[in-house]
Amino acid sequence: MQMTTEARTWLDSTVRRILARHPLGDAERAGITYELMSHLHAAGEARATAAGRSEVAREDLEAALLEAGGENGLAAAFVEPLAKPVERVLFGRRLGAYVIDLIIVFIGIGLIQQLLDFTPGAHLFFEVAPAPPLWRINSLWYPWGQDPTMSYGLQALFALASGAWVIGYFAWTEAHGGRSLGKRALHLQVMRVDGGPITFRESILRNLVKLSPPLLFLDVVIMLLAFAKDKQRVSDRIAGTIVVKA
Amino acid sequence: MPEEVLRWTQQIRKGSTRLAILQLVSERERYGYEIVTSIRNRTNGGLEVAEGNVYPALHALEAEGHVTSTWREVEPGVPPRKYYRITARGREHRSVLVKEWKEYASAIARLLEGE
Repeated sequence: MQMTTEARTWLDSTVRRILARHPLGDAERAGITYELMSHLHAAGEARATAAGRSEVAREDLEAALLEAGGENGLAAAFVEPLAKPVERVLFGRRLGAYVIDLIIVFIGIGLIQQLLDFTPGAHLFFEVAPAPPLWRINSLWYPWGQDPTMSYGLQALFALASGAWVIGYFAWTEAHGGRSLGKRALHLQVMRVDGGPITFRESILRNLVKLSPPLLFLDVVIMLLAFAKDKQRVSDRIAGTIVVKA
Repeated sequence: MPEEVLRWTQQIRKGSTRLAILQLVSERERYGYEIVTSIRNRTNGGLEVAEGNVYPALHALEAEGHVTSTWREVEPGVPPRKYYRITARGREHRSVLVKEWKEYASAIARLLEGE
């Protein structure tokens, strides 16, 4: 039996809310989504039939949810048994993963430098049109792509490209499977607080601070002082993400 | 019903859910909600099981290889249904449970007869 549009919308959002209660792997999430929808629809259909309706209405689904013990009841029946036990990680292994990632980051920056150095005419072009050294912020706050032997224009390009590589590396790898190479090596994974896979947006939010080591340091110190229980950097809190053993 | 009676019947029911499910899916394949309502209807409400017990039991039975499941589209535009069917292993398991159940029931009956 078909559902009304209102019922369908309600079903989608309700199931999503129930699923958000516990961390789940991708496969489990897909399976439970179907099962929950299927169950509520079947139970709602029985009600609609009893009431002589030809479409499953939102009230039928709501009654079905209530009978099943509400959102808590369904979460306990469907989600909890399959929920992934997650163990959040605070500091040690995350630092180790970061060191590995830093090595990869610097290898990448070295390659960018080589590329810029050996691009025929690059020096010449930037020599002709030197950019004002406004971008030359203190290298402590932005250490990516610093090469004083380059022309100003090339230095600017080098610094920008390196920063883009740093944020791009972390954000892209973590948005695809939740693991940078360092995290992969140390069996760590980033996930949303509800256990879902993180999106590119969340990944950028939690990694943006890595552009500036002092800010990252501050972020970590605040975590250790204030959020040690939740094991989240401030950036993690903003993005709604956690780092867990995988 | 007083609290302690409620708790006690709940405990008895929990164990019988598995047998009830195996019985129902051994007759023909059924989907989750159908199992919930069938148990209620077949026992005239005597065995009232909650969704909260049926689905975890189904998942456990499937993980143990006693039942298998297939997703079937019922009609386009509505969620598909997961149909559960008993396996050969499940049939064996069912007969063991039936035997145990009967022995247990008659043991309790003998006990209640008194000296």
